[in-house]
Amino acid sequence: MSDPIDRPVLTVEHLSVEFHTDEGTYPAVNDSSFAIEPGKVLALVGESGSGKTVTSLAILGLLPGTARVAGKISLDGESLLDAGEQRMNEIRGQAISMIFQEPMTALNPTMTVGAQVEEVLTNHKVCSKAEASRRAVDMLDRVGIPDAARRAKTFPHELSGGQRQRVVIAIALACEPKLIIADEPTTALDVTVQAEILDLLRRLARESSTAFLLITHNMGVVADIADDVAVMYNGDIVETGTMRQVLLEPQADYSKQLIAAIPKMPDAHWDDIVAAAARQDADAQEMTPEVGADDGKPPALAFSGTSIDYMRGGRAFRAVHDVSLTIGDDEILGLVGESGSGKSTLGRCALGLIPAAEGTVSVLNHAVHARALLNAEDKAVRAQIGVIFQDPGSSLDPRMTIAQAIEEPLLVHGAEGMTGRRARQARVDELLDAVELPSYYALRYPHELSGGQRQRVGLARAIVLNPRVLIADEPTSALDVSVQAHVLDALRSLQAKYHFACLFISHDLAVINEMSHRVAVMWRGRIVEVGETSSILVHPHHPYTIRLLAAVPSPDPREQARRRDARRKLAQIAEVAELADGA
Amino acid sequence: MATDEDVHRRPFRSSFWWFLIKRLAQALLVILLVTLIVFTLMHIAMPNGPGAGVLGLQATAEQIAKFNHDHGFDLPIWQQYFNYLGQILHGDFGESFQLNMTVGMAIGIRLPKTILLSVICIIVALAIAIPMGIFQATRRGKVSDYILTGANFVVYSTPSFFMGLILIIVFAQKLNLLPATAPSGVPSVLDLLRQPNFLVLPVITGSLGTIATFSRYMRSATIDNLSEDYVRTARAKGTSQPRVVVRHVVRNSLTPVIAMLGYYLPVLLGGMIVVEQLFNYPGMGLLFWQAATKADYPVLLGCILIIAVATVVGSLLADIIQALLDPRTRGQLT
Amino acid sequence: MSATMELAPRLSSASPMTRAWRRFRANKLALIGTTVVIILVLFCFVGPLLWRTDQVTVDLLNNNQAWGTAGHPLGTDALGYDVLGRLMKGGQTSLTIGLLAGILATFIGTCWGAIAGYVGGPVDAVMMRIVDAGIAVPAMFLLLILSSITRPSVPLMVVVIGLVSWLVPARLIRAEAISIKTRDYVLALRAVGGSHTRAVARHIIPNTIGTMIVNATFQVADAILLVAFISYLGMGVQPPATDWGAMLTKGIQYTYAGYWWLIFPAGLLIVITVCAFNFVGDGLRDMFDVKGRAS
Repeated sequence: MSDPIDRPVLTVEHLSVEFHTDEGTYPAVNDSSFAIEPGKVLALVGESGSGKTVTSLAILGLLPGTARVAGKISLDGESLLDAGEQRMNEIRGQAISMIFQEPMTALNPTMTVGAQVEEVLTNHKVCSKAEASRRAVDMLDRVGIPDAARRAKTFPHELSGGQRQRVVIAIALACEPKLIIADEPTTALDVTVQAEILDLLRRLARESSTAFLLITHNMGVVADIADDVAVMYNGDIVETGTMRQVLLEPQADYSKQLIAAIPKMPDAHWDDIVAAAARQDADAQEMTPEVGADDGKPPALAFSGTSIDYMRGGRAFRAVHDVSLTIGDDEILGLVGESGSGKSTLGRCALGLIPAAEGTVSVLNHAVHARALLNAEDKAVRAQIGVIFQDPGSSLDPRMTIAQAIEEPLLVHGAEGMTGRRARQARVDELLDAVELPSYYALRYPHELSGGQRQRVGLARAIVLNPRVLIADEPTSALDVSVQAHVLDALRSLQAKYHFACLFISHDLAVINEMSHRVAVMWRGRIVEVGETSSILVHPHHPYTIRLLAAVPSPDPREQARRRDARRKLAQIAEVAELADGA
Repeated sequence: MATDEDVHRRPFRSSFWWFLIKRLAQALLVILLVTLIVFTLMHIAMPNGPGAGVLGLQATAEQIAKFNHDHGFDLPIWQQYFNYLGQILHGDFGESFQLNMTVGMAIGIRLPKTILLSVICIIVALAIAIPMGIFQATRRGKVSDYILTGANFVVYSTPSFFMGLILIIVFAQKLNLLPATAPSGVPSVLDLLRQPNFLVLPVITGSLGTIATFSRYMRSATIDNLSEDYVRTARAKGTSQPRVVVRHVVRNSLTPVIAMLGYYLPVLLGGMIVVEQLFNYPGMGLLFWQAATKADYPVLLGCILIIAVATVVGSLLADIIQALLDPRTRGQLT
Repeated sequence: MSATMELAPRLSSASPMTRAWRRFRANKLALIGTTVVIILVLFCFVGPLLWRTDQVTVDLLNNNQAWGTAGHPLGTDALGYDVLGRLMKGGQTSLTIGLLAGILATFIGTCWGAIAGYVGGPVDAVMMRIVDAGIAVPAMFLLLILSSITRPSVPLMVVVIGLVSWLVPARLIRAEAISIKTRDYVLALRAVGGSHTRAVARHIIPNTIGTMIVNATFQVADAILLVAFISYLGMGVQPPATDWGAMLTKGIQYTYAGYWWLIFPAGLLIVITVCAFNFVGDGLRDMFDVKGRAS
């Protein structure tokens, strides 16, 4: 491949997309232009609704019939908007292919993964049927699926999310396309799996002349694998430049705000961490997790020897093992872990939604029970706990006004001084003000609010009874980063004002870092490490915490290079240890 | 979200066999409930036992009382229920009041003909409804879809007796093309097959409603599948839209439709009463209607029990077939 | 305003009712259906006040008059009743039974399904097996048996059709209740100590209203059909009361005589009525954006 590097594979010029629906016409992309050179990774970044996915579907010609596209898209000089459907079918999969966000649904559930890789080869008649199945296995092997020949005969549900995403990547790669569009390829994955997929994409980009259009909202992913960046906002490309330029010295106002809104993490002491790992430091595993600050006062929230069973498929399995943890008054404890680690289960147990199989949970020394019918004492305990959940779409009843939603706990408890309508209304106004929403929102319905506004209403409802403990279960995970910053600010200022204790559950170490005084790391149902935030995120001891920390992509390209380097060294150390174990 | 490890071998309680055992137990419970319903109906219909009906108008009160006593119809109600369960387990559904034969025999003669008619109706209906639903889904929002959807609504809203009547007037009366009634006498299944002319109008009448129902299911199942992510993946591979439908979508949208078949059985058989009555077709529906006009309760209750059990078994089979067609459940067979 | 960068939810500036009405209005068939239903109700219930006919006294001297006869635009039937007037009277029966039975069925089904879905566990399992058993016994057969035991009156038909038609709505509402009870707003209520009654009354039921209304409409359509079937088979309401199905049956023997006015007006009114209710149901489903019957 000795093509002159400056001739772009793909050029997009003055692209505009509008949607014509029954409810009116609205623009999705306005007059956007960019180009990608062979072997390069261009990241198209922006928040939801910015038009980045619409742009990618426009390139592939897969927009729905309601879309009107104008401008020019050319692939190696060929205009894609003028190519007919038949020509586009030849181009799709062969010259341009795509990796999608959601690996759980991107594959046909009733077709073997091998057959789904073969399909792209036979579609483009690159080889015979028999050859295609051989090449499909090769591709699966190349994207790092172990025992590829056997796995090719399995169905998608038999593979994990990360492996399914590898299959999708194999499909995209099979015909060695000139351009691969990766639309949020790691967003649905856990951070440690994300790191593996990013390694794979990075390797593929380096070893071929294929160009990548990477669509993402995650600046850490950008810092990890992108060469160039285009920032999109509300349908416009507001800035383009090299990755380092845009991330380190953004020019456009929006880019500056966006990058400023990203939660930050301290630079970890990678040299020490790697050195400790190389010494086979065993003290980490032996260390008993520090339970909590002991200041003589009863803890606001305490788990003691808590184990929780969960029913799945008619069978109970243990989701949480023997957790002991306390949260003091006026303290925010960050609980971090990946999906399935048991962190949300623990939160729900504290709320009395799931019973503890062993051990206890108590709030201000009163046990929390998960009874079907609550007695007066249970209700009194529950008045001390507030909760905010993850999904802004289901956190508020669509048929209740904002005021009704916020005052519901007051009605449940017939709270003192709050039995009058006027008193409740005053309390609602006060709380709306506290979460920085105008008081006329009280009469609105949830659908009239944006996701971030709904989460702030959720916060107001959570503290309406003045609880001593707040359980925040991934309150900002479904939000865009700039919105997330506002919701986190609101939560922080409420906590500073009302001094409640907070169990802040998140999968995002950077958010945890910004929010919490102490951190507990959860892995496979156990707390593996607890300590001051500043110490754990700078120098963790438990191997899992180290792995997790190394896997989080940092939006700072320099720090990200260090993490990548540390991850490589740690992997080598682990490999050596394994070899030693084998011997 | 999944962790990046192999999905573990599932425990027995989420395996296919466990599903099968659970589903069988459910079906048994439902059948038991059905017998309870039928037994209750029997007592509403014949609060003093069937004696009066069996012996006819000439019987004296003593004879009736003796008959009821001999057959255990004066026992406590729960004992009667267990006797009833025992009888139906032996295939004994009692004596017809009118036909001079056992209910079992009466049904035995008529049932095969109803099965014949229903099976033909279902095959014809599915052969039309499935392609039609797929066609509509791929042409969603276009004129052809609107026309077919409108036609579906009209057909669905037309009672089969009215539809059949129009067919008779047009094809039998005006055009004189096809016979309006089944062969007279008591034709066997073979007789019916030898004279397929007689089946044409009953089959059309019986299948039109089924076509309307199933093309609607197929259309919506196909539309649901067309919006799945895997369709977009296939399109991004360069698979053309028609090929995506054939290779990916049809199979996945057929499974729920097949499952619907089991639940559709009672509706279909209910419709057969009208079809058989209208065309004088000698099946179980006609038997049932005649028994209803003459208050021949043992026949009515026997028929309803058979149909209810057939429905339970039908939906059981449909669920099992659906589970077998889906690799997510089939995978746990081994 | 702090959330300056956040894009406001697109296209949803209008209130939910306005948007719902807009969706309903966009469905032309639904508008036609609503109009037709209104016209039919006026025809059956207001019509007899304007078009006064004797539907009680048999008038054999003037029986089987052809359509267009003076005073009898649609002729008379075998007993000399004016067919137009009789269509109004029969329609009252069909519409009354259909509407009341549909509402009754939806009411029973909603309560049953909401309880089964919300409570869950063994209670749910048993309640749903009862539904399965009910579905396995075909409604047509059950109605014929009951009609052969006792000749039905209008109230009895309403109760019986209601009692055999609540099973499908029960299944739909149960599925909905199961999904709603795991929503965060219900969990938040439970976490703060709210009662089950409050969860069901304030959250579950209000959020199933869409499904309920849509289903009730389809139930009315099905109930009208069921009444027609039973009457057609000669087991419906007894003379001098009548309904469209019964009118059609009585006319069948005159098919070969060509007295079409005894068959087609009644048959067409059944088709139009059922169709109209189905159109309305379809429009309501778009409006409430609920899943239900396949469309």
